Amino acid sequence: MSETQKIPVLVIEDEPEIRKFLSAALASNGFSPAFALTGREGLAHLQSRVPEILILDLGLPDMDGLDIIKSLRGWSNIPVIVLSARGQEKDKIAALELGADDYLTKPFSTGELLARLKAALRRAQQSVSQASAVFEANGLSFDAQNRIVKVDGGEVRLTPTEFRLLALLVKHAGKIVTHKQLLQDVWGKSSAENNHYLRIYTQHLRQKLGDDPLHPRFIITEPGVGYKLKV
Amino acid sequence: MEKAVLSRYLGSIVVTVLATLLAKALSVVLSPTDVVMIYLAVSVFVAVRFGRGPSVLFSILSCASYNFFFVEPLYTFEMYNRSSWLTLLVMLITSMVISGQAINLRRQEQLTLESTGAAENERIKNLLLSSVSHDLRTPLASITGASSSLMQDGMPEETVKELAKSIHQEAERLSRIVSNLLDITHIESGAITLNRQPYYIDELIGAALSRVPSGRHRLEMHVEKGLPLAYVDGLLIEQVLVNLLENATKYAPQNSVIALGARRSGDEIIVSVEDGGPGIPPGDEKRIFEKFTRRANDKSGSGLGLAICEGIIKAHQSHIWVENRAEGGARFSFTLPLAVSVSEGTSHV
Repeated sequence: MSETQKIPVLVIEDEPEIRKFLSAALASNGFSPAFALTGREGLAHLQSRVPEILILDLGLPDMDGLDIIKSLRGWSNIPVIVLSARGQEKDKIAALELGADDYLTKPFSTGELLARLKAALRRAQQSVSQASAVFEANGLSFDAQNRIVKVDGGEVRLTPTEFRLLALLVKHAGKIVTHKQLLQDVWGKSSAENNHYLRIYTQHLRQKLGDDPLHPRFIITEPGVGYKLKV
Repeated sequence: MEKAVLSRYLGSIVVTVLATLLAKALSVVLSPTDVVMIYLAVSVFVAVRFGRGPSVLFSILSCASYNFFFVEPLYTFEMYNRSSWLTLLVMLITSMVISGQAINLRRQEQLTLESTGAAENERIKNLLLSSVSHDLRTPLASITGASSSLMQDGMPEETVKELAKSIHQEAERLSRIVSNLLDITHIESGAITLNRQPYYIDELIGAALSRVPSGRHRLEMHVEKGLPLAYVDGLLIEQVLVNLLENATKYAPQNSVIALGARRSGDEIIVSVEDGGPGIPPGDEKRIFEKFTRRANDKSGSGLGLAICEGIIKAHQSHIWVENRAEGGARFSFTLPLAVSVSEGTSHV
């Protein structure tokens, strides 16, 4: 693969040892990585030339990684993968709500990182090329325009709320949608604290799709964070 | 602090007055030497009770009182007899020496008590440290060894892969131990705050199952249909389930059944994880939840998994316990509160 075909990725990370292994792993897997050691440096880089994907450590010495996402989302929709330490659950959720695509908890392996990067890039491409097309994965077919939902070819009748819930998960397929995002988009802002609605409707939706929460085929539970549609 | 010091000196004065009253009352039947004995006896009490300063004050006051109330001419500080001076001097010295001794004795006693407590704490701390450092050192030794081998030239590619794999596995083990240590410290310091939300237990079981590789065993599900919402910290309960499942996969023989159950019992949901392993030695049912307790022949665990489970469940004001199954193997069970029972009449119904 020539240098020009490689996917440009910016890594904002202050730990030299982590940079070292990311550099080796990314360069040998089809990416051309650039590195920023501080938040300021990272923002400056992002403003001058936007990469195709950003890997962002939340624990930077000079500024909050969340502020970088906030600021970046003002002008760019490139996928953002957040790296966080264990126990930073609140930060992870905040990052997702600000528009990060996925997160990895340190320590993580190269395999995990590459899988997340590829999935995020695939999603970014799909959302550009086929915004109105029918979504299909694992035997689930979702036609937003004609409001038709099928599982293994058989049509499933959903209530308007169940349909909105599934539509939101489909829109972000493969990405975690937080409890708050689901509640706000499906039920409106006022019910952001009423998690039980979300549980009950998700259960109904799963029942209608024939999805067993013990061994989910479509909807993955991320306890404390949200739900994700498998792709 | 100053108030406490003042009150000890006041106490010393009060005791002098009381001792003098007692001696005066008894002076009809007592000789002046016996009166001196009363003061000396009381000086021991003052020394032990009020400490050095007040006991010196008592010695001086008692000598003065003795002179004033008991030495001729009475009710003056004058003396007819030269020997009275000597009595007074001896009384003062004796009283000082006695109180000094009494105070030393008391201090020594305290020191002994303190050092016994400290020694016990130290012993427990050392036990924990040696256990932890052994756990950390073993994977570190493998990582150091394997990675230094990798730096040598001319390794066959096969060996390089093997060594890299072993570094990865041992690093993951190290990471687990450190996470567990952080978790238990967090739980024990009382810093744990629950992010409680309504959850269906089958969702949490599903999430936990996806984190535990169970290919070596047959999984059986006994989850009651239509269970109500539980009111829990989902992430922490997922952790409890993962720890219990990991234990089960570790102890149960290959291809044996691991059974997961959930059922309603009154205001609670009872969740259980059963395995066909060796079970728990009788009498160890409580001890097994303590830190650094491992089952026989287990060298891989941190000895913290079950202690973490207990900490999390207790934070939910719920219970966790273990019993041996009649057919062999262990059954771990824990209870979870229902969302309705917590929030009846509020927005959580």
